[in-house]
Amino acid sequence: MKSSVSTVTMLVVGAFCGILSAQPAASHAPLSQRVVHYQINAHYNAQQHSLDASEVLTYRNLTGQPLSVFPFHLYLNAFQPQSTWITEAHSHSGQNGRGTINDWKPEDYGSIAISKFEVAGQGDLTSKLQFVSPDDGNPNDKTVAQVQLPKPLAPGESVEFRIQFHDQFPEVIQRTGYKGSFIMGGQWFPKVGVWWHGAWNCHQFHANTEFFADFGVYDVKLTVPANEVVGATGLQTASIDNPNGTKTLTFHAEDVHDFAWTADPAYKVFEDTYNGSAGPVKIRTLMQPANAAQGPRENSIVKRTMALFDKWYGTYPYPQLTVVDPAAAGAGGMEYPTLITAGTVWYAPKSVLLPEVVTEHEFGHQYWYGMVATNEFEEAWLDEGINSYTEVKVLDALYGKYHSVINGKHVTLGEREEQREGYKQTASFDPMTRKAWQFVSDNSYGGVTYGKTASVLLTLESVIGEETMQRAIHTWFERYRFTHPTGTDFMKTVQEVAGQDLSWYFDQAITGTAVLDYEISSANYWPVDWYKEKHDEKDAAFHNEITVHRKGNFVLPVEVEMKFDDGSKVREHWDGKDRWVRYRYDKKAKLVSAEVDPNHKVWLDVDFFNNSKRAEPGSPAATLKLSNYWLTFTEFLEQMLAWGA
Amino acid sequence: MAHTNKSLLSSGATSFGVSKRYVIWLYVVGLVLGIGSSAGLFARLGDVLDRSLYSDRLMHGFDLATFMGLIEKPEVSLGSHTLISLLCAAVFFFFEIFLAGGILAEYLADARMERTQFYSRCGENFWKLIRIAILFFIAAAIVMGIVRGIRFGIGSATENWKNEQAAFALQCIVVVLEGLALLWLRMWFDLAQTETVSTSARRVRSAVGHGFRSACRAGALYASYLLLGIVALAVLVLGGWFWWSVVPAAATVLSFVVWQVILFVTLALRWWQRAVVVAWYERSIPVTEPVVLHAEPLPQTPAPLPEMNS
Repeated sequence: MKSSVSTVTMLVVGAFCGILSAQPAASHAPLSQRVVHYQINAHYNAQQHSLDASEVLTYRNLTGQPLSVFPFHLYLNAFQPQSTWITEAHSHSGQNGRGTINDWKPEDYGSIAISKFEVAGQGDLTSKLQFVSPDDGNPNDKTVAQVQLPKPLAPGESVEFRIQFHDQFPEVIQRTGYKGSFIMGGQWFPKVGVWWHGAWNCHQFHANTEFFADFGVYDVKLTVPANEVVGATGLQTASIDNPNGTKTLTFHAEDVHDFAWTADPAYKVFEDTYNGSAGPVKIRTLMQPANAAQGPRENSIVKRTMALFDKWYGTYPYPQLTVVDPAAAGAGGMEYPTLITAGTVWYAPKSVLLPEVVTEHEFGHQYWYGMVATNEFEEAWLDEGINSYTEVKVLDALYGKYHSVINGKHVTLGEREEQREGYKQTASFDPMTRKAWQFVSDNSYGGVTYGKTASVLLTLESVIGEETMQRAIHTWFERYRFTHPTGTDFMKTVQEVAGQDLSWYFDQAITGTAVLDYEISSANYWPVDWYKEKHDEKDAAFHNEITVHRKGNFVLPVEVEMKFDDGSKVREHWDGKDRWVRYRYDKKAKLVSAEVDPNHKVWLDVDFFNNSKRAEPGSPAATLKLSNYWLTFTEFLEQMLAWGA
Repeated sequence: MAHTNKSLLSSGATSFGVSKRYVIWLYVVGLVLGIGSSAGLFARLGDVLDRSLYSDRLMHGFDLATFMGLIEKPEVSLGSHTLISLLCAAVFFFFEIFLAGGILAEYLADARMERTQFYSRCGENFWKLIRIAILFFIAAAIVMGIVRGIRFGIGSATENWKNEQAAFALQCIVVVLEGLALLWLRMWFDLAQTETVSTSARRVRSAVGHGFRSACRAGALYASYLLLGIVALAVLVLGGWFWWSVVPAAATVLSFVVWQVILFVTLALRWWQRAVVVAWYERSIPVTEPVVLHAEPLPQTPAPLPEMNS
């Protein structure tokens, strides 16, 4: 009887707890088309790092045409030998020596296996499932499976898929998997592709690709060991303790296009509230014990970022945001709808703002990916790139242009500089519009998708103005949130808001690979009466001559500023169309310096050193300072080696 | 035997004081080599920085992105300058080994030597000290290899620890133990060097063997060694902290002075350690060959060897 009593008691207590923890599920009018509705009942085995689940997917055919083939993403199968993901990751390792996969351990394996696949009214179609590789034809890649329905789904109708599957999580790799008692469940369930532009869009999982899915509703029941602290997309609406030492948590999320979860018994929870224009947003931050002291730091940057996004771009409409500090760095710095993973270490000093940079970036994805749900496979610049741009704007506003990553007395670094630095390395390899898996290398993907896009948009501010640029991004958000816009939509929006044709800029910067590099190739002066033996020192006139050279093939109108020793300045506007331009001034003053882009707005320029030139060599102070550092470095080297003498 | 009533540190300090001019020499040579290595860089940097307004971002503060942009320029070519610095370090290494023979002999004599005699002892011991240095590097590599293995093992074992601070502390403890082991190793080979110079023995391996046995029973010496090592570390850390917190970013001259003081003090402390070794050696092991301070004409006929009184 004891067990029966215990069971009843637990059920009553569990139900009571469920009532207490139930949050009012957001029941406002749909924000998206809600093409899909996933109902998943999953049981996580913490010992085996595996999961068994049943999934009911209701798909609404809003395509306007009958559909008979349905493709599904099975992302966890990427972590199998000879998969496309592994092959590409290893290949990239060979190229630059620091790729994701250099060796392969048993714990790196991950998989998802469908044991049953039924379609309501059409029977068991498990045997009809076929693996396909639409991108590279790799017969060993099992990250996409498709099924042909016996009866096509008519436009406007819905179909219900009933799927049973088993996940085996890898040790953390590509932002998913386990590490000790920690688990990050990302891309863990069969997810249907997106019908987009008249065809299914369901790419294989590649080394450099992220994700693309339809908006909908998620109702997920997750059964985990009772001691786990769990975070997930959406809101937790119920919690029931089971007699077998587990608990079942229920989550509900609306108008999202993915569902991720995490669990770890060791999480320390930090809660806060942001009062935004759409109402209060609960911030729930799950920190690793070692990093617990940084919980308030994470919440602070989230709130400050939310405030600026709310003010500049639009409202955050969800009632909660979960911030996860993962136990493994490989799971950090990732975005899912209403859930982000951060990246910090317990010893992160306050002057090094990398935790803030990561958390800000991942929150930004709630807008650029979460709500404006562009195709991350094909146009990664629209999420990572625009997000990198808004990251620069937010961090600039919070910490200053040149101090937003490192703010030390002897060392500083700004986020916009960091973005530009990434782009400079690979400036001419790939256009921003390249599909994510087709970049020449990891470096090029990162440098162009993140760094170049940020630099392109920062430079665009110099063409259309900072305020116009902000309105353009705001319009982009308001117009396309909860849809799947394209790069063309973005460019049209910017041009519309700016009220000008910017195709000349976009052709070079976005769809092209032109490199921007202006230089002052010469800056000289000499007495007008140079041919005389004696010059009139008191009333001398000088011939000043400056040549500006467009070294790169990117044409951009620029400002050029000349300074003279009488304190006067001259500013010229050059359209940059020719390869060079020469300015001459005869005046009773000597040229001191000439500078292209004196307001430092052209962040696409790959070399800032040659943007200016002094007519006479200036103080060698910087040279002396660096030489002194080098001298000290050499002497240390000497003493270190001599310690063995 | 000198300074028998003094502490080891005090005896070492006295010996160090006798030969301090050579340590100053060493410092000056190190500085000159450093200046030499940075002279080429100074010229190349000047070509870029002295004309560009952008260099201000390196002067008032130190903008990392600006610095990255600078070293990415082919005309700066930091890689080739690193090679030059390594060469300078190698030259300094050999110069220090060269002087070590003379300085140790002077420590043993506890008096200044004539210049010719000093350099004669330098030359006489040079190759022997080179061989000892090679053996030291082999031993140090073994110790560091073992410690690296231990650290890797600890890293694997603590990989899933939730208490990262404890795992970090454990790694720190191993690093400290590695430092202590290397310090002991250094003391062992310093003893071997001292014996080699003292006895003018040709066989380096036996000196290393004796050095090992001496090091095993040199608790007091190790304590002195450790103390001076800690002082050197403190000078480095506190000096670095002072530079970071107090010295303005644009104050190049002050920055130079601060780092030179740090470098000089650490070099002096190293030679004080060696003088302490000599002091301990003199107290523990009878000097078999007295150092001749003033060269006298050699006798025409071999004189009978004096008997050693124990």
